[in-house]
Amino acid sequence: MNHLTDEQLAGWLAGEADPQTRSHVDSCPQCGAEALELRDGISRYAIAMRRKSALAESAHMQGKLAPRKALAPHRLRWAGAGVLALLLASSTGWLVKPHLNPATAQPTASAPAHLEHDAHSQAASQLSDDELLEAVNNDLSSDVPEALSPVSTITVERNEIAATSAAAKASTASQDSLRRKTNVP
Amino acid sequence: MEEILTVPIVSNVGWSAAEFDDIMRTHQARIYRILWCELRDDEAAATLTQDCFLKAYRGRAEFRGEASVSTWLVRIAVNLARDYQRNRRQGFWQRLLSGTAKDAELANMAVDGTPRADRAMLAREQLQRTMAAVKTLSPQQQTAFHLRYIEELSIEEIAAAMSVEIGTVKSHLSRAVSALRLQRNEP
Repeated sequence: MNHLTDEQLAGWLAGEADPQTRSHVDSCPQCGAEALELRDGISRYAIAMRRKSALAESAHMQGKLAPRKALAPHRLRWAGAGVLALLLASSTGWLVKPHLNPATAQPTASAPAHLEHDAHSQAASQLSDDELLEAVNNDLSSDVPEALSPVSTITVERNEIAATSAAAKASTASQDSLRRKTNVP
Repeated sequence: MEEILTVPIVSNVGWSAAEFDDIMRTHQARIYRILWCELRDDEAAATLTQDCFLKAYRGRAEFRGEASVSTWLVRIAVNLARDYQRNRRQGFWQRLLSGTAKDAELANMAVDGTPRADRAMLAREQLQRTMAAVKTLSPQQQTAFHLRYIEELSIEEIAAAMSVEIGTVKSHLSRAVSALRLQRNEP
């Protein structure tokens, strides 16, 4: 038998060699040495790659998980502040109020049209705010695996805040009730 | 961007979030490793690992179980790596400039501080030759090589993950052996 072809050697390295090839590797010093050397090189390469990727992943996870918890409340606050700012802006009207050019502005005759326009703008703005709130709400309450998205952390925190708030209210109400009962003769 | 999820769409039944968390924990390290080996970029591997599971989660209702979950995830990861490499503008220069340092670093990692200097030197040399040979391979050939020898997937699994014929995988691996032989015979 001639020395091994690339295909035969690849089959041997992949553990899928036929008996003839295996026998040749065992009996031919040249092919045997070559096969073992290639196998060792591949093995070292695989070990090095696995180690390096494991180290990289570990470093990345350490760097990623620590600040995520710290960032989550900030994100919640920023989201809340943004929504509040938009609500305030829309309620005061400066966000959607059309800026009239004094030169082209129509006097009293166009007032009803302006009122109508403002009403439409306000409705559009309200719709926009609703859409925004819905989007924020959807993001916060979306059912995603914990590891997939930071918003799930925010959802948990929001629920915890709501639960704490509800518990505090319930506690206050029961204390008031108790006080009333004790004061009644 | 091409459609990543190629598993036939039949069932609407998918995993719950909790079940998917388990899948993620089980396969995350492997997916990261595959992406890292493909890209040699820590950040990109981490980002694409997240993308991989996000795509899988969004397409979970489409998974029928004809392939294993692992193969399905590997397929998504391989496609993501392909897209990333295709879109990476400065990839060539980045690899050219950073390749030497990273290879030297890798070469040191395969040597376990063995007391015998000659063995360490031999190991480093073997590794450097292997790395040099792998570099000469096409991206597809590299992927097949990595999936076989780092992830230890079978030829059939590699074919499924890469969406190619078994013969193509064998051809890729044969080409890799040819490159390794060339490197070995170089002075």
